[in-house]
Amino acid sequence: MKKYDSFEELDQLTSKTLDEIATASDLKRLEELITSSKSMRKRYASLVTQESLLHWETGRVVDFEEETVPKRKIINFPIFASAAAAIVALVSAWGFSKQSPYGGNTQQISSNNSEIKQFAGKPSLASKSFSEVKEPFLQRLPFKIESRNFSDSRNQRIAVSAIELLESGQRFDDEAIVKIDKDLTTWDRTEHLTVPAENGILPLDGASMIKLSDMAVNVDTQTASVQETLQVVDIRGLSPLFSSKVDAEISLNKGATAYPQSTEFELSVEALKGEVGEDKRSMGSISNALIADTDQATWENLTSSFDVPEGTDFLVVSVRARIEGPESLLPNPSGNYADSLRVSFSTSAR
Amino acid sequence: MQSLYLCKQAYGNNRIDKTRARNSTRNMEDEPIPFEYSRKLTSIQRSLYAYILSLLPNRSDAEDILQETNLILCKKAKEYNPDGHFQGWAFRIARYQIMAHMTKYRRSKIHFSNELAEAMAEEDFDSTSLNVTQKALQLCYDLLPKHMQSIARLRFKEEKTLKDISSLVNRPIGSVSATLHRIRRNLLHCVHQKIPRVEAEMDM
Repeated sequence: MKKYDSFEELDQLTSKTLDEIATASDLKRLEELITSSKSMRKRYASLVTQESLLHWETGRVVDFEEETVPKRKIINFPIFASAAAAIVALVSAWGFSKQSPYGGNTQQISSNNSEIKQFAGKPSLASKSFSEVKEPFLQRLPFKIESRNFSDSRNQRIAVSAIELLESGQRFDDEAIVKIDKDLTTWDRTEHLTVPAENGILPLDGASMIKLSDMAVNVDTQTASVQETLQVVDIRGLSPLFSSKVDAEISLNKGATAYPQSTEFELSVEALKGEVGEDKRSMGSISNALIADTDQATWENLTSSFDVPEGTDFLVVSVRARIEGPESLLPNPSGNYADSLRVSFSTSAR
Repeated sequence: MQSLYLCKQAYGNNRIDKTRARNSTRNMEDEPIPFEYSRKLTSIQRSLYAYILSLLPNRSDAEDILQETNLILCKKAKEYNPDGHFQGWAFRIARYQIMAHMTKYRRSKIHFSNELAEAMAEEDFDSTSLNVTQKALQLCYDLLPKHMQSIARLRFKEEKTLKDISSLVNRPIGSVSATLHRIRRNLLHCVHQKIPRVEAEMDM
């Protein structure tokens, strides 16, 4: 018992010292404890060694799950940059002194380039160029979301902005309302997408309804679609001891058109994971779809139920409207609408 | 191989006297570091840093002393006896640097006494066991609750002060300090438990 108490005091003082908040008397007491016995000294050495590994190996320990992004680490951690540069410098120097300098260097540089291409997941220069030209602003995002669920870059940008805001702990956004309810923080954009009754459609609930943005038409694939991120829920505050289930529900409608257009609506909930400020990757998602009828007087209900994967940080709720075939090329001035979005959580012990 | 670069980096570092650095760089180019010496120097970097941090528990100071120690070790490459105990030799040089630092800043910073520098044992920082500890630490870090991971990341990766963390997570400094204390204890306890499994896996 005495030994445990002594460790407790040693641990506490060591922690204060490593956090640079220890006083002179704290340091003196810690030194007394360290020198009092071999077990104390070893305990202190273990704590400091662990601390040094956390400093030294931040790329491998603190960001362990993100080892697939080596370029970012090289930029962030000078120690790893040094190690990587060391290999290059030494190989270059070795080649310079012992062999043909041009042959050695060329081989090394070529090898590095191929590794970078491989890590970046760009199979060819052509596809890389296309990607950069097609979505140049994605390059300026603070991080990316690795998911197939985002049909367009605009929507990804909105989701990234929402997550960035939630991660920064801000409570206000010009484009959404931030709601805090116990362990959940929700970035909710629905209010900012609302319109009053229009195009022969009355809101299902209250005096306003969500109007989706205009569809983007792809002539090559003969599709017209629009996706709106409606909510991003920060669930990092939920206890890992409980499993969560999310139920999302939304009502959908479409305006009248002079010709028949078969619009498919889809409600998606996607789970994302990633450290603050770093790229997010999908942990899973669920999407349910329906084909909208042509009656503006009725609203159709769509639900999605999703068991939240363990380790999820954020949930993104989005709705998509899509028209396929030649009719997608026709003008669609009538609009697509949603109302009464409800997202509820239930938890149970794992 | 990396430590040849470590030596070059140490010579070129801004914290080191520029004239000395230029002369040393010239020496470096004239007299290359033996490969075996480079390998040994690289292999002890983490334990050397841990040892320095144990006596100078301030990240910035410890990194400075590590840099200075590496510089001296690079310069003394020719003096090293290959039959000698490299880590012990390197730690002795580090200890002199630490004690000189303590003496220099005795009045402006709070430090441990020189007696502690004598008491800390080199074998407590064995470089051969660090790979296992590191792998166990990776496993244990993933088991930390989310809120602890967030605070750990702010402190260990982003090097935020407790005051900064306190304002970022909107919690009192005392609470952040207590959380970091629990993080360190939890990790240490977990690492001790995981080490046998990691050792077994590494043997396989």
